[in-house]
Amino acid sequence: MLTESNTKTVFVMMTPCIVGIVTIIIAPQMLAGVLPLLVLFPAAIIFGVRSLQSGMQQQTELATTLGDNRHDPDVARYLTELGTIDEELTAIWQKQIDTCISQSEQAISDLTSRFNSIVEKLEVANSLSQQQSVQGQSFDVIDFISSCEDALRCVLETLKTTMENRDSLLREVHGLLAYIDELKGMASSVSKIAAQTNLLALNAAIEAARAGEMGRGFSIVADEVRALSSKSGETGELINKTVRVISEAITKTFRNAEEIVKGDDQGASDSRSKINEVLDQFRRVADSMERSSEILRTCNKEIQFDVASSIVHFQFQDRISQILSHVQSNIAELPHEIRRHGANYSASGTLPSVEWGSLARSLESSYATREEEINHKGSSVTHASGNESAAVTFF
Amino acid sequence: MEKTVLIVDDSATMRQLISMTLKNAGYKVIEANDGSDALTKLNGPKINLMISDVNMPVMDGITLIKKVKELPSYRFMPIIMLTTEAGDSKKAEGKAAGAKAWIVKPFQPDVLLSAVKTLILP
Repeated sequence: MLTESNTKTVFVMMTPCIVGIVTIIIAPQMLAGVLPLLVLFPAAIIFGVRSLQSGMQQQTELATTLGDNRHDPDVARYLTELGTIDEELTAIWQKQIDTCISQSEQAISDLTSRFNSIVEKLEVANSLSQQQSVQGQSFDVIDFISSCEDALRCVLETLKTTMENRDSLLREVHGLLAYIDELKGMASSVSKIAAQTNLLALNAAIEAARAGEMGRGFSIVADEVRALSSKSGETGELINKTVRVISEAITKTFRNAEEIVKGDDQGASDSRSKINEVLDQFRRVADSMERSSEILRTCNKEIQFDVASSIVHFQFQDRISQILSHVQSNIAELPHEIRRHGANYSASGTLPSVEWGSLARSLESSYATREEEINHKGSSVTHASGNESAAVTFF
Repeated sequence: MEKTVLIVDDSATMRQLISMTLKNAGYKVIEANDGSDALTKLNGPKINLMISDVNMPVMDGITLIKKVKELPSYRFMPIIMLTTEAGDSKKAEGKAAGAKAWIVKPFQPDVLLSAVKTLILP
């Protein structure tokens, strides 16, 4: 018969079992609601499982006690009721675990999605920081600055070549002045020859007059020679004047050119100075951008490392879901075991020995993770075992 | 040409994490919730490699591999098993069914990518 004392004993003995299962159920809720309690989650699960084991052990002792009350209708009723309660309770426990699994999966899935979005945006930002797009074509800013620097250097080289050509031209113009002096000398010679020829013609005319009739022909020749020497003298003078004009023009041109050269030199010097200034600025900007790019590259590597680590850590949800699913399936087997005891008692008046071991073996056979096996063997694990993930097994 | 990878896992989180890892490396990704869903997806665009979990509802990963190996167009498609199962007996089952590689969760992104690069056909 189930006495008041026995009922109290039953209640006291069932309490750790219920505490264990409730702890298993609320542990994931702690996880879903309060992430900083993450470290408490495995401890809570272990505490829950141990409480459940303790409850099961005490229930075994209770069953042995009840076994002494053969054919007691109260015991049979109690066992039937216990089976029903267990069935109802386990259904509720399973629903609660289901809710925990689905809520944590939904939350982590959303979190992963947002994490993915952040990573994608970081990738875009990183890419844009190093490249600019103009009219659909992307180019590197540092390369662009470098090409501008090259172009400006070409301008400087062209300017230098142009000035060298100009100087060469001026040297040649200056060389013409030497020929002017030669031309002047030649014109002077022509004038002197004309004067001499005129004097010679005059003497010839005098000698022809003295010869009389015999020298008339010679007199005509002397007149023609004098006229020719006069024209030669005029031509010499004309050459002289022309050479003077050309000489003055060349000299004037050369002086003007020298003035222009001075201006050009100043302009070229200013241009060179400005271009070098711009090049220096470009170099400073390029250096600064290169340093920024280096920092960004370093940050990018660090972000990629953090992303890879986070991808590993986010997978805890999958492991937790699997562990909880295994516990959930095992809980579902509990009512069957209690019903079996009730039916056995009703039929034979005896209570079979409680085989919690079969439930434990069933649970063990469902394990997929190392930590479940380690927990089952008595040690406790608070972290996911990650050694297996370090390598791939190729077949 | 862009390679397409079929990811089969009942956990949405796992699918997202694998998908993120592969997409960042330039692969196109198709997702399936379980083995049955994966077989439906194999009727769609050409898939170059499959990554599958083992323990899934409706149809588990080992059954899925066996069925994939019966499909003429996917007989030689490389398959990577990505699972929490670390036991040798399960690995042997996967190998016998036709899997080419076995990775235990939690996976390291570089390890998974390295396996994909090694196995995916040019």
